[in-house]
Amino acid sequence: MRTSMQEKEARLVAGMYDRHRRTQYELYAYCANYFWGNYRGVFFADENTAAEIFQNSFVKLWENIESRKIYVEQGRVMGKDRKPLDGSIRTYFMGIARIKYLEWARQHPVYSDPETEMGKKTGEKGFDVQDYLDILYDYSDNVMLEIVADLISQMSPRCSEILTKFYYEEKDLDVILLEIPSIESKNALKTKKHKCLDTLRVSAKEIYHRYLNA
Amino acid sequence: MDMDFQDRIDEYLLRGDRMSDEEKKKFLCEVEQDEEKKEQLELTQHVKMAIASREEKLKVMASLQWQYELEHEDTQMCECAMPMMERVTSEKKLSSGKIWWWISGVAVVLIAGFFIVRPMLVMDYEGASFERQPDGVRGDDDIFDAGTAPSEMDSVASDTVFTDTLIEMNDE
Repeated sequence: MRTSMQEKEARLVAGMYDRHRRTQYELYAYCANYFWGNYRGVFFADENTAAEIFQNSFVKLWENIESRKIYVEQGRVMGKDRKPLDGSIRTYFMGIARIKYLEWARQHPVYSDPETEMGKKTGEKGFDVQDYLDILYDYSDNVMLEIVADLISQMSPRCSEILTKFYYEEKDLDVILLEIPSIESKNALKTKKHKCLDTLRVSAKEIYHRYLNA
Repeated sequence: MDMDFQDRIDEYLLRGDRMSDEEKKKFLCEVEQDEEKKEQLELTQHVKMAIASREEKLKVMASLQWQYELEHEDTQMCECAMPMMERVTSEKKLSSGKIWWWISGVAVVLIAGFFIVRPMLVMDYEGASFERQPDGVRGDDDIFDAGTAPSEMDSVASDTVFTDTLIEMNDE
């Protein structure tokens, strides 16, 4: 027997998959209310960082719904191995947020250094590789796309700016050079772009081999 | 990673419509025969797809966030953490703070304007200043210039101007 919350969440996930505008907002508000009410109990971050984590987490939730990693069947939200999702969508969302926080913390030494109080607290929260795999990556198909998408959410602002202008906005290097005056020359821009792609490639390969073949 | 080959990948992915079918076929054949080049092409394709997906979602989320903040004014999230969204929302959203800035600015301009214009309305008359009476009389103050002798004025002797109270005062 489904509870009213399960029915509501099934409706939200189905509506999100169908790109129903009103349901998109409803799911967004549903996750935001829960996130802002509970994030302090899950990780340690200032409001700016928390907002960034929320943004990246919702993008990931949306991508998981689009790729049918979670989907609705017979009025129930289903997850891995075609089984009903453990817990609620809110818990699932906070699971993504927790992983996004841990990814962020690894890039910020004070949060990852076990010698610091922050680092100890972060360490106590633990890092379950299986959670990481289950929530972030579907290793049945197109796993590299998911890994790359996840890495893009963690890219430096400069790399994000350059790659977005080049591959999404499809601007020429000359135009990008005008828009980023701190880069001195076209060659420097080209080199920077290449470095960003190379970093992505190395990180993606590392994640693929370390976690998915573990 | 081969930087020169990356240029060719970018040409294929972003300006493939300018390539002939022959050129495209030759390029793909070259990729198939080299595992590293194949990997490089796939990575670039994934980057392009992932960025497009992310940007489209961020655009939608910007409007969702704007709506959320309107409905939850007391739980406004920090804008500075969302550079992508901020670009989109800045055109649509006028926060209450900015509205008050505009109102204050307009008020300052009006008050300053009042104090600038006000002296222009004040007339100086032999060191004493008085405000112009709203008598609807046009023309400059020379009409009431007490220094002008009646004989210099182009009028008839019986004209009421000569019996004007102000001129009589000046003669005294």
